[in-house]
Amino acid sequence: MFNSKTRIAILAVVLLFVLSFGALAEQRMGTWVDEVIIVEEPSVTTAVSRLKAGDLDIWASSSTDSNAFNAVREDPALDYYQVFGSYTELTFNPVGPTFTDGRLNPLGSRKIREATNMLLDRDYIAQEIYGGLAVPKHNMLNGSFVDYSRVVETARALEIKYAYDVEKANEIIAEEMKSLGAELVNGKWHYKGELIEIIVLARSEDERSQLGDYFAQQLGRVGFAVKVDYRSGAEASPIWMLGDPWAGQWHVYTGGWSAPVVYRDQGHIFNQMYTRRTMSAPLWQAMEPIPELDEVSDKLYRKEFSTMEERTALYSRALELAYEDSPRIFVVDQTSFLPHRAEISVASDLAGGVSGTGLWPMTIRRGDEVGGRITMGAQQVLVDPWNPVEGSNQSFDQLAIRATFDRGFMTDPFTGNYHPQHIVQMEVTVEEGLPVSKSPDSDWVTLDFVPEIEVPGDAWAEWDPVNQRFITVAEKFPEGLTATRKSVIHYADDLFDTVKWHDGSPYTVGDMLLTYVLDWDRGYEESQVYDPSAAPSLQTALKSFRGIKIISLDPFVYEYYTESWSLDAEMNISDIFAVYFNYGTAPWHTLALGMMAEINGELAFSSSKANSLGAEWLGYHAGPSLPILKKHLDSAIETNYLPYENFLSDFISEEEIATRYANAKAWYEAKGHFWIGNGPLYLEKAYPTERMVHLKRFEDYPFPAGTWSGFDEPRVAEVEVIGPKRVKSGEQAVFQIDISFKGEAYKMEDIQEVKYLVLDAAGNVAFSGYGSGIFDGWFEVKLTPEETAQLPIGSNTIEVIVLPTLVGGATFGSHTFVTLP
Amino acid sequence: MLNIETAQEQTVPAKKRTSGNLGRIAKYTLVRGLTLIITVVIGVYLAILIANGGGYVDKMREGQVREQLSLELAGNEAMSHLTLQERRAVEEDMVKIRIEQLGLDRPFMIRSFEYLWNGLTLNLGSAEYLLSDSGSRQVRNILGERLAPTLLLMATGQLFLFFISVFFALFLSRRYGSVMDKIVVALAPTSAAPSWFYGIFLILIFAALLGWLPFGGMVAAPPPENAFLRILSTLKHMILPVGSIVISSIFLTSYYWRTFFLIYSSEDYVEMAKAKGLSGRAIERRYVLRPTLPTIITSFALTLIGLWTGAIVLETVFAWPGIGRLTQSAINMFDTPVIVGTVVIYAYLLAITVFLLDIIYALVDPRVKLGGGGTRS
Repeated sequence: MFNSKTRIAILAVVLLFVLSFGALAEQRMGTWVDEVIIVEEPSVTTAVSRLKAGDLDIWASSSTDSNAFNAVREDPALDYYQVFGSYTELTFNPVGPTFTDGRLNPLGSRKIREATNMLLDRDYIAQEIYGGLAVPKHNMLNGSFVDYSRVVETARALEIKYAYDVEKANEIIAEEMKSLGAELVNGKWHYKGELIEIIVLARSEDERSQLGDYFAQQLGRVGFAVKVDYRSGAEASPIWMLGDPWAGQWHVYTGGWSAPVVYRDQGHIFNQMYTRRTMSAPLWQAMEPIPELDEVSDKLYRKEFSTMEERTALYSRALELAYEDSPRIFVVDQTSFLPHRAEISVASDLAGGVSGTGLWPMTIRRGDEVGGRITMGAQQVLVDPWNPVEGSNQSFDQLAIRATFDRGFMTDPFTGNYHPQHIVQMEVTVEEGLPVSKSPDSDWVTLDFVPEIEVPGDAWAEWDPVNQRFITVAEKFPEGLTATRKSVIHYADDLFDTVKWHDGSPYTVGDMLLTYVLDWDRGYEESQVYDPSAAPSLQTALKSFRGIKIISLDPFVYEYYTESWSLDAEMNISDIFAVYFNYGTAPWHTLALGMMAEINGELAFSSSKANSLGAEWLGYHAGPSLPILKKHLDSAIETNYLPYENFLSDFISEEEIATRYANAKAWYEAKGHFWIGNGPLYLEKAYPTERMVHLKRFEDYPFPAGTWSGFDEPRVAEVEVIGPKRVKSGEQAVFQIDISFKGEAYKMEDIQEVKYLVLDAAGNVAFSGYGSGIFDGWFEVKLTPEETAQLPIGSNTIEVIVLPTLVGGATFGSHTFVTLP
Repeated sequence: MLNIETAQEQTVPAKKRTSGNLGRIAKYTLVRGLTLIITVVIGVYLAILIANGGGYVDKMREGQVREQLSLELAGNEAMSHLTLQERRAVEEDMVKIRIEQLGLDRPFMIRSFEYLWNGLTLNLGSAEYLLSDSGSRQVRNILGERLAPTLLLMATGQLFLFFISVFFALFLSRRYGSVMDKIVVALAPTSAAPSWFYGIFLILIFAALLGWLPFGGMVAAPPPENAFLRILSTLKHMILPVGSIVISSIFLTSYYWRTFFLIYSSEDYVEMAKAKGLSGRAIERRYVLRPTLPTIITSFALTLIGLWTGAIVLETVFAWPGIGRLTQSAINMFDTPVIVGTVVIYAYLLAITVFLLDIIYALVDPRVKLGGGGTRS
C-alpha cells in the first residue's frame, strides 16, 4: 500500500507524535523534588558537619561564622550562597557642644564627626574583625542594590575623599577641639580641667563588641580617653534610643541594620538616617541636620522629582551632605553565607537568603534529579502561628510558608524587580512628569503618561462595615477624584480553571474578594472582626488609595487607582491574588472559620488582639486553634456560612459554599490541620515538638517544574580590565573590559551599562564616561588624546563599574597604568 | 527541727507518747509548711524582681517596641503621603497598642504582685512573647509541651547515672585499692567538663565520622508513622545525649558514692558486725546502706526535681526541644510569666520535696525524729 520511504516517514511521524505526547503526559508540575523536610538545627557548626555527612542537604539560615565558612570553602562536597542584607555602622550622640551637666561632647561637632570617617580602616575591620565575611561600607547604600549603581561616581569619589587617614583626621579633630575650648594635656583632651571621656556603647552579642574596641583604640590615637560599655541590644536600647541624649550617657553606639529584600528604591534612607522626620525616638529628635540635607532627604522621600537625572542629582548631593553631617558613619556590609551540599541548587535572595524568596520551592533540586527528598536545616522551626491575615512573619516560618502559597507576581531574588506569575499583563498609567520607567524585557507591562488620571465614579472608594458593601467614588467624592497612578491588572484567562487549593477546591473570585474585604474590615471599629492594631494601617493606606474597579470577573481584570507609585513600572502592582502575601494566603472557606472563631472571642488573627481577648493567636497549621476551627467547620457546614453575605453572595454560590466546607473537612480528616494553600508544596504535617515541617509536592500546581530555572544562581558578573601599562600623554588609550560569569561571556543584552572613572594618583576623579559594547562579554573604553593629555604624569587608575540587568548590584574592576610625558 | 536521737530504750507510756507525737508532728508540719511557703513567696518574688531588673526591663521593652515600629514605618511607602504630624500620630497609636499589649502601661510594682499572685496560685496565664511549640500563648501549654521531652531525656540520663553510679560505687567500695578503683579515682576530674562538652565529641565520633547515630533532634525526619518504629527512632536519638550525661558525671559520682560508702564501712559498728561474723552482704545492707539511705534518698529526690530545669547547652547541642532552651529563651526575651511559671513550679517541687524528705528521713532512719525537744538521755 505504501512504499518503504512513505512507511518510514509515517513511522517517524507516529514516533514523534508518541514521544511528544509522552513527554507532555509526563510533564512534571510544580517542584523538582517530591518532598522537603525542614528540621531545626540551631548551630551553624553542627549544620556544616551534618552537611558533610549528608544528613542535611542545605542549611537555609545564614551565618557570619568565619570558621564554619572556611570549613565550607575547604570541602569540595559543599558550596554556599551569599547574603548581603546586613550592615554595621557607628551612631553618634550628636548633641552639644556640651551636655546638660556641662561636659563637652566632641561628637556634637559636625567637623569631628565627619573626620571620624577617616579613623576607620574598613578593610582591616572587614578582614580581621569580620574574618573576611564583610566588605567595607562607606555610606548607607548597599553595594548589591541598584541605588548604589545609580550614584556610583559620586559614591566612589566620596569613598576616596574619606579614605582611612588617621593623620588627616587628627589634624581636623585637633583644630576643632581647640576651637571648642578643649586642650591637650599629656596627650589627652581635657575640657575646663576635666578629662574628656568618650563612652562607646558596644553591642555584646556579635562582632560589634570588637568593633567597639577598635573604634575606642582609634579614638585613643587622636587623644581621647575612651570607656567601652558592652551591652546587649535590649540593654542598650533604653540608653541610646530612648534615653535623653543631652544626659550624655553615651557618645558612640555600634549599630546594625538589615534589609530583608533587595530594595530597588532607597529613597527613604536619608530621611530615616539623617533627619528628625521618620523616627520619633529622642535620639532622632535631637538631630540637627544640615538644612540642605534635611530638604533634599524630604524630596527624595516624597519623590519630589520628575526625572531620574534629577533624582540622581538629589541623591548625589544627599550623599555628600551625609558625610558632612555624619550623625552616623558606616563601617561594613556583612556577607553572610548559606551552606549547602554542592549538588543542591536553589534560588536564594541576595538580601533575604532562601527564606526571602518565594522561588525556592520551584528551583530547589539535587543535580538533575527529578523527585526525591531534600532535608533542609534551619536555625529555628515553627516559631509563631501560621495564619495568612496577621500570623507569623518570622523568616524561619516564612521559609515553609512561602512554599505553600502562590501569588500574582514573583520578586526577582537578585534585582528586586517583579515578574508576572498569575498576572499576565499590566497597563500602568502615571501622571506626566514622573520618572517611571520599565525594563525593556518586561513585555507584560505597558507604560503610559497622561496629564491627569480621573477615577471613575463607579470605582470602589472605601468599605462600609455596617452595610457590608463598598462605597463608590461617586458617593464619597461627588466632586470627582483624580489619582497619580492607574494600574490595570489582567490575570491569566484560565486562572479559575487551572489554579486549585491544596484541598482540591478550585480557586475562585470569592477567594480574592473575601481577603480583600477582610483587609479593609478589620480596621473599622464597627466591624465584628475589628482589630485596633489594624486601624492605623488602614488610615494610612486610605491617604493614598483612590479606588478599585473590577472590569471583568472571568478573566479577572481590575483597575487600581492610587497616589503611590514606584520608579519601576513593574512594581506598580497592586495584586489581590495574595492580599496578605507577607503572611501567606488562604482560601475564603478557611478564612471564614478563623473569622467565626475571632467573632466568638476564641481565637484572633493578630497577636495583639489575641492578647487583649485572652485568646490564642490563630494558627492554621497546628496547636490549640485546630479543635476550635474544627468546631466552627462543623457549624459552618450546618449553616452554609458565608461571611459578608450581603456582598459576597453575588460572587459565591450556595453550591460552592457546601463544596468548599466539604473539601476542608476531608482535608482536615486526612492531614489534621487547616493550612490549605495553593503553592507548589503543601503542608503534609507540622511537628511542633519535634521541630520539623514536612512539605510535599502539590501535583495540581499549574506551572511546570523549571518555570523559574535560571534563578538558582545570581549571575554576578566577573570583570577584568585589560589595557596598556603605559599611556603616553596626548595619545589614545584603549582598555578592554572582559565581563563573564563562571568563564562564560556575559551577554550584551544582560548588561545595562559599563561606566568608568579615571582616577589620578591622589584618588581624584579626573573624568568619567561609558564603555561601548563590542560583543558578548567584551566592552571597550577609549580615552581620547585630549583626555590622556589631561591626566597628570605618573600613576593613574581606570575603574570600571559594570551594571548587569540580572542582578541588582554593580561589579567593579580596575587597571593601573602610568602616564608618560 | 530535725533531731537525731540515740536509739535508746523508751520509758514514756505508749498512749501519752502517741498523743504527744501527733501534736508534735502537727506543730512541726504547720511550722515547716509555713516556713516553706514564706521561702517560696520570697524566692519567687525575688525571681520576678531580678527577671525584670527591678522594672528596668520595662524601659528596654519600650525601646524595642519603638525601635521595631520605627523601622517598620520608615520603609513604608504609604507613610510618605502623610504629614509629619499624621506620621507621628500613627506611630504613637501603634506604640500605644503594643505597649498596652505588653502591659507596660501599668506600673511595674503592681504587675510584680500580679505576677506573684498568679504564679503562686498556679494561674500561669499567658506569655508575653513566647509561644508554645504548637503556637499556644498559655504558659501551661508552653511548659507542658516541653516537659515530656525534658523528662524523657533528663530522667533517662540522670536515673541511669544515679543507679549506675550507686551500684558501681558499692562495687568499688568492696574493692578499695583495686585497679578499677584507681582508674575511677584517676578519671574523676574528667567530670569537670560539662555534659555538652562530651556531647560534641560524641557527635563528632558517632554522627559525623561513623554515621551510626543521628546528630540531634528527637526523632528521624520525617517521624515514622508506625508507633513502634517511632519509639525506636526516639531511643536512637537519645543514645548520644544520654551517653553525654552519663559519661560527664559517672566517674565523679561513683567516686563520691564510693568514698561515702567507704566512710560508713569503717564505722565502729561495722567493725563490730564484722567481728561478730556477719556476712559481707548483711553488713552492707544493714550497717552501710541503711544509714546512708537518707543521703541517697535526698540525692535521688534532688535529682528528680532537677530534671525540671533541663540542661540549656546540652539541649542546644543536640537540638533537643527541652525546658532548658525554653528557659533560656524566656530569660533572653524577658518573658516574665514564663520565667515565673518555671521558677514557681521548681520552687513548689523543691519545697514539697524538702517537706517530704523530712518525713521520709524519719521513716527510714530510726535516729531521726520529727519535731521534738532535743536529745533524750
